[in-house]
Amino acid sequence: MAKTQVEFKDVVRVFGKGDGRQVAVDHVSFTIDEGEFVVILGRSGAGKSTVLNMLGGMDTPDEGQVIVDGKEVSAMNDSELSSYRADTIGFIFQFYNLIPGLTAFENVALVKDIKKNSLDANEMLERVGLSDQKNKFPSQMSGGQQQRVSIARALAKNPRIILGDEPTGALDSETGLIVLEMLQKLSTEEGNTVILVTHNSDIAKCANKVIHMRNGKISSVRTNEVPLSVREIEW
Amino acid sequence: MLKRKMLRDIKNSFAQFFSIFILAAVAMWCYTGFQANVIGGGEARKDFESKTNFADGWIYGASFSQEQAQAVSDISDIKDVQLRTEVLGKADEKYNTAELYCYFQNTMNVTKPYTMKGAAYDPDDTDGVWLFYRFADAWGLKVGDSFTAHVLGQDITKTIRGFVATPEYEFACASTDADTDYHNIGFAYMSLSVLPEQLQGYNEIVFTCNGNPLKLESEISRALDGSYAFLADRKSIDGYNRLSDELNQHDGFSYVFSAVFVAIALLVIITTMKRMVAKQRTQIGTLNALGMKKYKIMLHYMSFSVVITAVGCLTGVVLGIFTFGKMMVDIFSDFYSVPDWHPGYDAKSILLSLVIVLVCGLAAFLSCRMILKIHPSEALRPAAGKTAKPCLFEKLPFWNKLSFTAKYDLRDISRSKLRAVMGVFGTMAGMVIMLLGIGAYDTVDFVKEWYFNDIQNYESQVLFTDSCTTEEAFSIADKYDGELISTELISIAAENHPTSDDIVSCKLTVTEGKGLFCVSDEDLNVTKLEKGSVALTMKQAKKLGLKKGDTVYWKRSDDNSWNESRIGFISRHPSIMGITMLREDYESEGFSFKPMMLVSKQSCEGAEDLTYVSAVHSLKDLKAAFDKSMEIMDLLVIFMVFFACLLIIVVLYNSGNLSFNEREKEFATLKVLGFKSSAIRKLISVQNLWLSVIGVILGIPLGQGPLQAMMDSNGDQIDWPCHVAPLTYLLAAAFVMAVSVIVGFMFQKRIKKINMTEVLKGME
Repeated sequence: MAKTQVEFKDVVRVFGKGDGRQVAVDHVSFTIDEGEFVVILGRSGAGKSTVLNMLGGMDTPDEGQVIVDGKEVSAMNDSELSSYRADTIGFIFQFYNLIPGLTAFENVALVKDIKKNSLDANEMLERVGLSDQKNKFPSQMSGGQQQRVSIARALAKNPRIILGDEPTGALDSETGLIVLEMLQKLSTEEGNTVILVTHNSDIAKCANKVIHMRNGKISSVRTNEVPLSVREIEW
Repeated sequence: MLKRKMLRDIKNSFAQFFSIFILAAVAMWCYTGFQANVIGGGEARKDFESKTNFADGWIYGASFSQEQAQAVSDISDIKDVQLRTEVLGKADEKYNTAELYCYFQNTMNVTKPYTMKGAAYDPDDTDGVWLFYRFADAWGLKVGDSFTAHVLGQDITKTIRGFVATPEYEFACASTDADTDYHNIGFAYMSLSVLPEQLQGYNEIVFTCNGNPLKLESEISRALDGSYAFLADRKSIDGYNRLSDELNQHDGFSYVFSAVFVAIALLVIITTMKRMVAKQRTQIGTLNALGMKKYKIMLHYMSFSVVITAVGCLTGVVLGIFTFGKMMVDIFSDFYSVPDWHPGYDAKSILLSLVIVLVCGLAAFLSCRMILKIHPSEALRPAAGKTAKPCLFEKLPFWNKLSFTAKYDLRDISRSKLRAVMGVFGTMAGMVIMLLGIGAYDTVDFVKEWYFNDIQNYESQVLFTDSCTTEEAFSIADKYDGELISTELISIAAENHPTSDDIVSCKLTVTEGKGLFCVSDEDLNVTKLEKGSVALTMKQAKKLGLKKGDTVYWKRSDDNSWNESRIGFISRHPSIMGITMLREDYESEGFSFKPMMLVSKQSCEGAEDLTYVSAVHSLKDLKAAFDKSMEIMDLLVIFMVFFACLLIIVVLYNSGNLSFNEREKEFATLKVLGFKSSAIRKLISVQNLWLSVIGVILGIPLGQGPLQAMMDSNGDQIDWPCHVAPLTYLLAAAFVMAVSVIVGFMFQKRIKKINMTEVLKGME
């Protein structure tokens, strides 16, 4: 039986005060097992990105606990959170967030400055099929290529969990499929836990687990016994 | 609505706009501060000169008659003429036999004494004396007191009628003092009739004229049949010229310092506005799409810089007049004797402020116009990311071995060149100003060492009274095994029988060549005078176009004939300008050597009681007096160090701030990736440190030139070779580096507060 890796226990996150008070995450609880490919689905404003941010150690809950690998992330201080992000999490952004002044290779290799036992940048770029583009700057690459560099950067840290916030949101369908395929492989073949946030319900068909959110609450948690492969879904 | 937007935008980019405000304010603060002194001093002097009908020209000679004065007066460009007798006398013993310049005249047309207290000068009043008010203040004299002067062998006792001032004594220092002490220097005005008839000869004609008095020399010479010693203009009157030089120096400072701050402000404006319009690209596109005219949008963005610099300039003008300017005037009006000297200001401050505002507005215009050229539909979309390409640094052989921080910072510098230029230029300017300030101190120490340990190779200085005979001087020289020195005023020229335009007034120093009173060569090495030649000081040689081996012509003030001497070497001395020659050469010209001073390696305290000795100074006393005379420089030094610090802090903080704002998104990404705040701070610190190092390196060689120019702006009567000690370079550099590091730490909090979740929402 797979081990529980992520545990959200009655988590609440509130933004603003007084009249402007907005409950972004309202008493949310769920678990994610090691190696699962999870999609958090919901409309804009459903609270899915806030959940991802708390899981990624970029935000802290007002109430409840976020536990990853048995450690309470929600109780960590600034320095511990930096280490947590460096060692455990690989993040893939919607708009890639590559450093414009660094080449593709350097964007991946900068991980060495964060984590000593990081993986080889050349190997990572090869894995995402960008060995021949490694000396290009982000501005000289397409969106899909940039996102693949972003994945290579996330992989270079050899993270236990990969988080993606609308990683295909800025890509065309074909490029989106390539990226998605790559992420699915990480889960099925490499054993990484992959958690994606999206509003695209088609992507959910590829996931082991789909957490549906609405107005800050979990409306449903569904398990796909036989997830579709990325190429099977209709975009 | 746009006004509200402007105020909110200013609030959002407070640090940059506050920097611009500070720089504009400091520019005008410097300008109006210096100008308050210059304009206030200028106005007070103009008024003083007008009220006293201050002379434009001085004709010195053995004796002048009324007819000669009339002949001079008949020259078309000469306005008023005054005959007078000027004699150096002594105040009574109870006033420490202070040097007292006595003026006897029976009319009052030119250089009329200005009444500070008591009755106005009356040349017909044979019972009264009018004294220099500073001297009277020093001795606590009152109107109505009796006062005795010893002059021309006469003991003249008169009743003090009033206290006066004249522009000839705006600066005054006794020849026995190294620093102004009004106990020892004064002047007195009396009626010519006070003197016995046989002494009532005039030795001076002073006059006012149109234009340059020296241009009238040929006409004056004809009017006087050539029977005069020399003609001088205001520049030759040390008591007047010293303040002119000082005010000219401050006038120069006011423009140089404000220019430096305005230049930095321009760089900050360009970088800030470029960044702001780039950030607000879609807003500009929206305003344009809504139908707002381009000129209105342009005016909106120009208004940021115009409003901020206008407020800054206004603040600077007010602060300049009432703080720095007032402080300068308080100090300088205490040092110089000019009545009614108050901080002054004129339309130039407003004009300069307008120029600064316009130039800064123009800089904003140039920074924004590119974005307004973009079609609105295009401007509505976010700009494509800044294109990156391999930078110049990548050609470095060790590029691949550089750390991430180094590569990242080098690429950032190559992508934000203007910001880097601002950082380097600002640090360089700060370094130069810092070197000027601390270097001035070093120069004072260097000159002190050179003057008191190299040139003055003695321990005691004994000054003789006028009545001291040559025999008395020789006997005391024997007793203390010393060297006798004489000094007198002379005129020098490169040609025989020159006109006044080609004449330089300076001093002739005659030494016995015993090696106690020395002169330095151009490289500041103490050099012995050769028999049959003279040493001519460097500044005077340059002025006359003379060099080693040339002939210099010289004339004593009480003699009408020109003498010639071969220049053995070009010399340097911090304060005695002119010719130095050996006693035997002087006597071989037919002049009798009349010592004014004895210098000795022995203590001469015992000589104080001798009747023919006016003062005895030990080297310690002379050094103390030198230090005191430098106190006025402290203000300038403090001022320069303060503004250098301010400039460096503003520039480096601003550079760091811009760097932070431009890279905030990247920093957030790095944080998400797991970079610690300290590692991100290091990125800012390292870059700032590099820019500082380059600024410091560029600033080091640039410090010497302005420092020497600052020393030279004190006039031709002072020759101070500038010197910056190695420790000063180290201190200045260390300060710049320290600010750089501290600025890095100032961003620690902001880095910690970076909102990573905002970054995840994507690009603007």
